[in-house]
Amino acid sequence: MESEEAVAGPSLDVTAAQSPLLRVSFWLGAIVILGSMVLGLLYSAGRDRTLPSLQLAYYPGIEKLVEAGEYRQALDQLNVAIELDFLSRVRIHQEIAQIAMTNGQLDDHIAACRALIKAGAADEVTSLNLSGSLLMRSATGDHGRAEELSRELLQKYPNHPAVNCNLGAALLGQDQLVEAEQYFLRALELEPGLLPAQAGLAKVREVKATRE
Amino acid sequence: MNDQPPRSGFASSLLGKSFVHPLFDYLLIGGGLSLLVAGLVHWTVPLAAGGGGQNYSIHARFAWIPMVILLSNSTHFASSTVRLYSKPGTFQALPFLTMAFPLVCLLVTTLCMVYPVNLGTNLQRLYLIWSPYHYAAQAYGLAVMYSYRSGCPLGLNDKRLMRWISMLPFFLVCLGGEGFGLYALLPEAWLAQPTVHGAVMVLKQWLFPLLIFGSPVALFIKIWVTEQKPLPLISLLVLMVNGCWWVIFTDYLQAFTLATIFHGVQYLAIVLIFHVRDQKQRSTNRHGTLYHVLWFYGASLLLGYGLFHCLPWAYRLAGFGVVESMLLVAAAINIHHFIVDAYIWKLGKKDSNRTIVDSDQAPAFV
Repeated sequence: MESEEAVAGPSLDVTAAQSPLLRVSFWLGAIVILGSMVLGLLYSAGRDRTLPSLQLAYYPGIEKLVEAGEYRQALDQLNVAIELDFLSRVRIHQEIAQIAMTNGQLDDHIAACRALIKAGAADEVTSLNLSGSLLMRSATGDHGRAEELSRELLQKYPNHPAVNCNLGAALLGQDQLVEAEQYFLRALELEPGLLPAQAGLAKVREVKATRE
Repeated sequence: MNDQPPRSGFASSLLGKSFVHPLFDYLLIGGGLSLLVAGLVHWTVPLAAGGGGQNYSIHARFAWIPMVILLSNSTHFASSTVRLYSKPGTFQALPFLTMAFPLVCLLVTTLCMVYPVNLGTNLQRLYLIWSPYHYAAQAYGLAVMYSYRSGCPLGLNDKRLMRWISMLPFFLVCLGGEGFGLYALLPEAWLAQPTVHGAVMVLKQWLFPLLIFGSPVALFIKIWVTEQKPLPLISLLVLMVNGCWWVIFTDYLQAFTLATIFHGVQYLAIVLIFHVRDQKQRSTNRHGTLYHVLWFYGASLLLGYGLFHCLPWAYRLAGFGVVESMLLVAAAINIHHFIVDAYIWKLGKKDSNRTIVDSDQAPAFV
């Protein structure tokens, strides 16, 4: 319904087409496309014991990969989705962050959290989780970023044990033992049984003792 | 599916000449129904999220959307293919499109599947930016067709003006979002500069909405004054409805989803009218309207389900990932539809489309 130029023809007969090449490509295309649809239907029915879902989305497929424990494959697929599904990028990064954090894929988790921060779509939980992953990866330079994130969070949540603990760990990683000890102590004051804070505090005291 | 008899008087000129019934034409083809739903979605979704309007998911709120997408969206994409192969004379008139193009599309899709990041991304970008162009072109075609049918044929200049006006929503979408439009073409850092970002926001939030809703009204008045007869209101409605989705919903995902659904409804209504008339004009026809409607819609529904829901599984069977299988097949079907549509709706003088549009007397203007 876009223009008004002339096209017309009286016949509907496919065999009337003059070029054999066109006839071959028509039948080949028809057989391959229709055959693929039937194959796809059978494959879906055989694999999931149901007809293909009406939901035009790839999320159910990703969920199945996660349920099957194929986290790496799920994350790789979501990384392809970032390139193709422009309109859902924030949601995809959130999905990656969730799957990666749950399954210990630190690099993917850090990349997804950073992308969310860059897109302005990160909340406090994202920052807290990112600082946690940066600490766990403990690569050079990550402790500084973890400290920065934790200090930002501490302004909003001064009485949150995990935030205090993360900041302590970030400082410990940068060899700022005195200040690190204060935050581990504060974390334990807020939550006496917090294991990472206990471990951090023990580490601080061990290093101090070695040096003395 | 008979045309409404011509009415006399100014009101009938304004109402225009319907294909089925003014209510049917205005709601489904004109897009009146989509305006009602736009209002419903726009006002109820934020309320459902506690009034904040944040973090709501249209898919969570509207769980029935997959079924509606199948019945409207997928079916409409398939219907252009069904129309291509059922319209009299297409194998002769369009040999490449009817016979070689499906195989070409399949090969291109498969190639994009092999290189999803390099090639697939471009296919996806093309599909996203072509969609609003396609909807705009359809709005233009329908507006001109109703104008012509209703006894208000447009001069060349008015047609050109209407073409530009119909394209305004497309230009608005071209301003883009993350990954497409301007944002896919220009450096991100440059677009993030406060002055550039501010200018884009002014265009998106003020200038384009004003033009999208104001210029069809201005054209309506111009034609009325210069031609001494009004455009039918359905032509005005079609143009404005196409714009409303992109203006009301700043979330492109919502805009794309809802615009596509109602573009599909509009398309199915008009394609069914043309198909039924083509079939009933055949000397060998022995069936009534209902038979032809059910046959065409049923074939389109079946093909739509096969293409959108079964074909991606074949790619998965071949070893491709779920993401590229779902997204790239959908993008390829969309692009195939856009290209087919550009040919099957041409109103050539000997074409059956022209016969159908011409088949009714225009209403008398008083």
